[in-house]
Amino acid sequence: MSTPQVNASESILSSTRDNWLLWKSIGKTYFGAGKTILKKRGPKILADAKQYPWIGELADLRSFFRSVSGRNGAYRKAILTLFEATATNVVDYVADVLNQPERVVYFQSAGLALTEILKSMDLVPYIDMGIPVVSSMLNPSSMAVYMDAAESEGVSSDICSLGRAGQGILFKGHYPKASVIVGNNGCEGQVNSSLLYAKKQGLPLFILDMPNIYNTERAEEFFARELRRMIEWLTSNTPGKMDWDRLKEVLDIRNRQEEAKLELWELMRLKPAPLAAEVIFFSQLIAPTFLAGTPAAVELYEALCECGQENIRKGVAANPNERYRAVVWHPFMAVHFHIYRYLELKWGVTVIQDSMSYSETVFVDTSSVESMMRGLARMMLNTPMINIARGTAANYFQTFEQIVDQYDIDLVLVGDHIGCKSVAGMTGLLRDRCRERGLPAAFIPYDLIDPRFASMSDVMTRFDQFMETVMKAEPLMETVPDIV
Amino acid sequence: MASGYFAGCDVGSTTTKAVIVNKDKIVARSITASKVDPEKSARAVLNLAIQQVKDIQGIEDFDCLVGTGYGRIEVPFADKNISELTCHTIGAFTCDSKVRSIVDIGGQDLKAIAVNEDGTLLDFVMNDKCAAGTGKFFEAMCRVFETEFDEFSELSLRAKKAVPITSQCSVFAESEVLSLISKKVAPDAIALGIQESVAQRCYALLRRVGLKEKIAITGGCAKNKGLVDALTKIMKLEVVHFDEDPQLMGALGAAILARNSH
Repeated sequence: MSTPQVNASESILSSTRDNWLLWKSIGKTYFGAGKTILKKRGPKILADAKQYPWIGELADLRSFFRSVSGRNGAYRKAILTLFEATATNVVDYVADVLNQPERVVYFQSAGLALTEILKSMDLVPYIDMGIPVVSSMLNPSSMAVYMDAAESEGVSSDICSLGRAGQGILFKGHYPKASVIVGNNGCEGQVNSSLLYAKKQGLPLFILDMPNIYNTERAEEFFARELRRMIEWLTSNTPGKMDWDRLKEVLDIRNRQEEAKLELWELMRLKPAPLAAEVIFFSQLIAPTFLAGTPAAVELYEALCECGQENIRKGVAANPNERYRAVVWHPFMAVHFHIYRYLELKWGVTVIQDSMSYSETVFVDTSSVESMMRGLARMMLNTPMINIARGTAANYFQTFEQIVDQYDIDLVLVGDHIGCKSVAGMTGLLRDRCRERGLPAAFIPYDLIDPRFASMSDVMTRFDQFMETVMKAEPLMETVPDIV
Repeated sequence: MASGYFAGCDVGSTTTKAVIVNKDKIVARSITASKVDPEKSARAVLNLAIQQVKDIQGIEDFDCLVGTGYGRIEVPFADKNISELTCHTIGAFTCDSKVRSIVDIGGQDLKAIAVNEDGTLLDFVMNDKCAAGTGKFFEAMCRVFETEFDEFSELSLRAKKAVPITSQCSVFAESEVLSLISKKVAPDAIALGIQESVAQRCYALLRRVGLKEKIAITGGCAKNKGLVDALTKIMKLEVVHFDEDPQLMGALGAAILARNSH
């Protein structure tokens, strides 16, 4: 693809079009979200906002809309589409949680979503990381009060900020009611969270045992049995009952969702990339969790693919000044997600893929209950947090090498999240591996959803230092607009 | 008309440095305590250096001035501002072209730099979240020992054995040292424990970036003889001795870059 020459009138037209896209999206998002709130909660939402102050944080979407500044055309449209889907579906999800507390299953996610199973049992999932992550993207300081509350109660400041935020929400009494809790051993920072929630709220607790060596027949068989055990437990402890036909429908849709996702990922192999950054990691944050197994997930990926195809037809790149193709390794910087726009505009860095999104794509055989359970087991064991953030180093590097080779990566951006001890232990080996492959790697210390450890300014400075000194790059602009 | 003089100014967290070069050599050097306003710090140190060169009346007489500094601090009136990492690399490489690893121990941070054979920067790691092992830490230790930096730096060289300092944090390390002193533990042994704990940090940073001879220490703490000795023993490798003040490496690198760009 080459970047076509644009004359002045075309430039004005596209600028007008981009502004129109933004304002239309703002209207559509607020209208859609408002309609859902009124329909599902009505005037009760005012009392909800008082009882759960984080609801107010979710109402201010300016950070999302600011993130399209400097991004144009179909790329802008793709990001706005994502944010529209996020806003309306998060509202829907929160409303369901508040409306049916007796059916709410709180699950400690660590990137593992049980949405398909829970929805097939007519249960309502409450994903513990959802609110802290989305809220901190909208307002980086929003979770500070909860993290402080957790530390005041004796929670160690060493654990991941995501875990501390969730625990702080609990201690402050801002947790929505649930009927049961399902935990897992996927994320070391959140392992104790489930125990704490169960004890504090006096709720029944089930812990999913996820094998460290995940990619064997034995692991899949074992975990499929674990999932059956969980389903039986949920049947005994909640009003939910598994509808296997419904699960089949959900998983059939899930398979279509995976096809659409693969198509999107395939587009990212083009140089320059037709889409970038949030389109990849944000779609993977939303679709497998809030939207899993619903037509909305398929529609979302298809809409994103269409935006990518539009750029390909026009011969336009997401980042017209693409100089480097980057993988984001370790969690993307939720609290400073504007950094990816900053890197695009100032340094010509296009984020092509990220480690918390990429995993083996699993299509579930829905011909029998047993095959569905095996497929679900395999799918969940391949969730990035489960197979990278724990287990053997081989898991970690296998994924790394796959991404680098498949996407022709020439720059590694490592979000050196201080709260993740297991992954921090791999840093030295990752440096060595990058050196062996001749891949420049920027290691930027930060805390996933706590801006106090490393502010946006700190992170920008670190990246600037890296690009200037190691990459010896010249900036494309001095100041990127709308960076707060 | 070109003056033939080029300057580099390095605004650090604790001290500000300036170096003036002509086409052949260094002609002036100065170091002052940093003020709150980086511009004032820069002007003060440059004016001090200018007094050493009779052909220069003011900052405007330089053919080129490159600024550098701690974090995002810049010299506002410089022709160009360049990262301190690059400047330290150039400065050290200019003094010894065989340098391949640098540890810069500044007032408030520690940096390890890997250097290419052509003198450009290959990679770096920084510790700027913790004051332990930085100039601030040694200032605190000098206060506790009620001694000046030069005297402290030689104290550990007299020790036969170190008393390990177990605290990772400089605040707690200070308390630990006070406690040891009050128990009448030999001061030289405590001093050696302090030097070894900082040397260990430096070594760990160097290992992360890839330790390769020759090794240089830059920054004010490079003048700490006890630290250099401890680091040499831990690494089992020699540390390069510069003829120039290692604290000036950033400013020197900036001056060289100013000269090269003209």
